[in-house]
Amino acid sequence: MANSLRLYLTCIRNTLEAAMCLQNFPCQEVERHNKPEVELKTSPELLLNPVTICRNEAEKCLIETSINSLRISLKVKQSDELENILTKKFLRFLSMRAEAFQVLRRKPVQGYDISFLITNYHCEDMQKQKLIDFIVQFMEDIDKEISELKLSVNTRGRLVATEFLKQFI
Amino acid sequence: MAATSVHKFAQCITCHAWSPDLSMIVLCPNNSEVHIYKLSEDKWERVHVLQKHDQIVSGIDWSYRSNKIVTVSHDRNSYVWNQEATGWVPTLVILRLNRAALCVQWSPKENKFAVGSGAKTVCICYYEQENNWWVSKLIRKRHDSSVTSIAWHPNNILLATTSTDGKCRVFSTFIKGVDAKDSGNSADTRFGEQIVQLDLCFCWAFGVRWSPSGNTLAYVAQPGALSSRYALGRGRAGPHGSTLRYWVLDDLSGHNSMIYFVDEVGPSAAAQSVAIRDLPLRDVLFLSERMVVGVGFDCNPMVFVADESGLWSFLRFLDERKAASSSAKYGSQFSEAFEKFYGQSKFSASNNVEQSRGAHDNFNIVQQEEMQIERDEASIPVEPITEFEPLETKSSHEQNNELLPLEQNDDLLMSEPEQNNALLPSEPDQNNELFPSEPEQKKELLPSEPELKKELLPYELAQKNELLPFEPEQKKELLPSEPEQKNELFPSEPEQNNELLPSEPEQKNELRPSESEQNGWLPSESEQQIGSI
Repeated sequence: MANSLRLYLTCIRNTLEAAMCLQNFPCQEVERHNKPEVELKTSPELLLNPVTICRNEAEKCLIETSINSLRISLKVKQSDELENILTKKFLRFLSMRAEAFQVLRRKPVQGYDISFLITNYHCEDMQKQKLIDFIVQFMEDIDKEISELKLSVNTRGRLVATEFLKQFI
Repeated sequence: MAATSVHKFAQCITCHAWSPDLSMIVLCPNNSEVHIYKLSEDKWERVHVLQKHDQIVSGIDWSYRSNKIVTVSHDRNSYVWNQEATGWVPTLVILRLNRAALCVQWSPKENKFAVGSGAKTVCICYYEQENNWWVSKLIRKRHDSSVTSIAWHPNNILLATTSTDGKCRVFSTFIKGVDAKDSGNSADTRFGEQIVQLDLCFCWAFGVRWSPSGNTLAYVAQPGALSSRYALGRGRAGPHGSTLRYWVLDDLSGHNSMIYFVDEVGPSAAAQSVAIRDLPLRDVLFLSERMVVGVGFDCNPMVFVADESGLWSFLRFLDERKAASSSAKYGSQFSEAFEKFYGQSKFSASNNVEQSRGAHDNFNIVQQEEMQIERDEASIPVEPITEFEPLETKSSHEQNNELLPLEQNDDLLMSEPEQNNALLPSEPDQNNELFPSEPEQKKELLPSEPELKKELLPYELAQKNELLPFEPEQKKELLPSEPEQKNELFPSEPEQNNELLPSEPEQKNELRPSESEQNGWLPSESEQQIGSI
């Protein structure tokens, strides 16, 4: 792994560790409800400052925290159009299966490619450390996945082109 | 030192209470049930299950003399359970709440109990003989947010509350016909009268407790993005005439817990603070007049003690310290992360408090990962300081410049400017409203900037060949984060404005400056290089 990527991920990991101090907190606005405050945003006193961690303009990560929930949004590197398309399709595929991931948000926050929503219930059911590991692992893998996809598309393109051009020889 | 044993009752326990003879424990296993366990021959056995609530039970208290259990739940209800021959019999309490109840505690005389709620109110409940039920009187319109914790003063009249608006308040709960007139000179206060409002932390407050004598008040606070900067709450004279001291444990920026002492003599009060670098605390418990245990997200109780002169300091962790990720960079980055979340407004706020309160004793206990348990001894006698930020930035500088091995250099580069950038832009806005701590900060930060540049440049030149793609990246990392911080911190003051707009503008702001700045700083080839590599 590139050194800078490691730094970027370490930074995110530490930030998440600091942020993931969530507790059960019933809704102040609606009777008998318990909602993630970071989505609701009705009581400003329950929200913390959002933090953005940028590796470069194309790769950044927004972490928003509240008393009982945490939202982390990622922007994945897209250096050309092909990567752009691949990322879009791939993350859409994941987002559509958000139930299976539990912490995945069904729609990314505007300006980002994919978002996770972690509530106090997730922290109760799962280990905090594992959750953080999952996010970081995901970020690590997504780049790999996209570049692999890109490679295979390119390879296939080349193959097809070769095959096609053979007939003119 | 202490013999501990671990019993796993449930995966998650929301609240618990001990029976008067400590042979039983009542707890809620994160659902609507309440379980009572009894200790028999070193084994805990479940003897009763109390089922009446239909949402998570959020608070339990067991009265010591009358042997009654009171439970409150997110379903807005509360029950008082009496032990009879057939088992535990519930009595409904009419709380008249329209939001979740969050915490409950019996008064020392056990003729009343208090319930804190998400409706921003506190209920004081007492038993009405003629109607044979528990009725409640509400303290309304005093809190700006949910009441997270409550504590009874030993005199049975005063009640301290903490809430997520970051304030700790003390109320009189004198109820005619329930409380006798002769309970001190506080009897002349009316029900629900606010005696003191402590506004020390600008953040969420939790876990308030009185010391056994009732002279000291402790509470824990976690930093939150409170935008407003109110003037300090001024209380009346100590309600029992003598000195009333408040001890505030304030998790200023997560890694930075603070302890304030407020000496309440007449209209003037003074606070003392201690800073700790760790995850936020959630609750405290007085073991004696001079010893307090705090618990929080570190899952490791912390012991605080007061010396002869009443100075509080962190003593040690109760548990063995888990081997945290060991590098120094972890520490610095970690605390940076906290700083980002909790923003600068809180720092200045704390200074504000200290200065105006005339509190002088400050300890900063710098947590370093290398020091494990032994470090506690080492960290206590840290020299007292008056300002917070300078020390903090200094410590990170030191760490970065001296301590780290070469290999981690990149990390320093990244983490240092980040800190500077984060602090610098915020200065103008703080300067206007805030206090003399700023100039000092500037002195500290400004010189370090050129230094940094120097550091960056030769590095870049020397390693252009291999590291170019890397270096700019680093810079990019730093830069975008700066304007972003700016945008986020500014609006946090008039938060309402931002709230109205959808979240996009914020993000747009974030993008634009970063673009321009990047262009200014970097040749675009480097970016392409990244791509090709």
